[in-house]
Amino acid sequence: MPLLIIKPLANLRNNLIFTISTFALLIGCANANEIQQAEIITDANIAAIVVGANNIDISAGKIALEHSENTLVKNFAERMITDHNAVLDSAIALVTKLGVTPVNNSLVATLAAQSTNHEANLQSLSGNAFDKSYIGHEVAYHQAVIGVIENQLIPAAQNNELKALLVSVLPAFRAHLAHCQMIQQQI
Amino acid sequence: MSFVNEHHAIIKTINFKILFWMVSGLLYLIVQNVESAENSFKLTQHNVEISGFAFVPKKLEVKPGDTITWVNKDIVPHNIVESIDQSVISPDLATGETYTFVVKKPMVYHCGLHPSMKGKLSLTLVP
Repeated sequence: MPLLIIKPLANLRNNLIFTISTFALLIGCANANEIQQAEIITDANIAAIVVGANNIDISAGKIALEHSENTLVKNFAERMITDHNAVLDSAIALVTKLGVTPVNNSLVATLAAQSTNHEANLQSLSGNAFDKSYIGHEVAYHQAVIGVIENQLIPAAQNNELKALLVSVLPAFRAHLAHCQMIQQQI
Repeated sequence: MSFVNEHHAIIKTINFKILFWMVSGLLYLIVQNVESAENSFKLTQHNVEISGFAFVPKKLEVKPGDTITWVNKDIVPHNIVESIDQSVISPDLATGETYTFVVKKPMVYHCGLHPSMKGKLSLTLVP
């Protein structure tokens, strides 16, 4: 009988953690967007954002591979590591060719801080609570990054090859978003 | 009497001409139908490009025995999985790799690594 009470309470707690962390991410990105609107985004900033955004998702994927026991979640995490490494390699090759040295800005700092908090939270979770938090964050993260690329980075990019790279990575982010939304329905 | 013979000769000539044109017409129709049937059953090689996280074209009309070649032009691996019974059609295809498959039946498929990528092979009706 106590289990019947504890399980719903545990679910409620996990859902609250997920909701709060997702909300925090979106608020964080919204604030980052506001900050960015006041700043001029250079190609060097874009390079830093692309590198940072991919590294953040690779890092979270590695934690998920270690912590999750769910095949769907582990496969997704593996996919994030492979795909974001490929995008990262492609971005690094381009900025090297263009002679652009990545320069961090406030958005990179915001994303990095959120990632640190999210990873600390993930490390404290296990089982279904971990899966829900990881996948829930992946949904919010991909939505936020797609928004930033479409609305800020592509319009700001000065170099045509850098702009083309940003356009070409959007389908990958959209496919990842659809994938994690599918998993979210099943866990 | 010579009038009758002459009349018969004329009729024979006319009949022969009619017969000639009928046989020629028939042969022409047979040749046309054979060519048409050959074209209908001629097997086709189709190419599907995997780019921008999509199968291009997404839908294809094919005949049993046709071949499909998928070529991965994305920077990440993709594969082909039959969507109904989840059978794996191709291994993971790295950038630039291709996989060729002989069509036996209509098929709905997706990328097993990125499930939102979907494609369809429909069978064309052969006359």
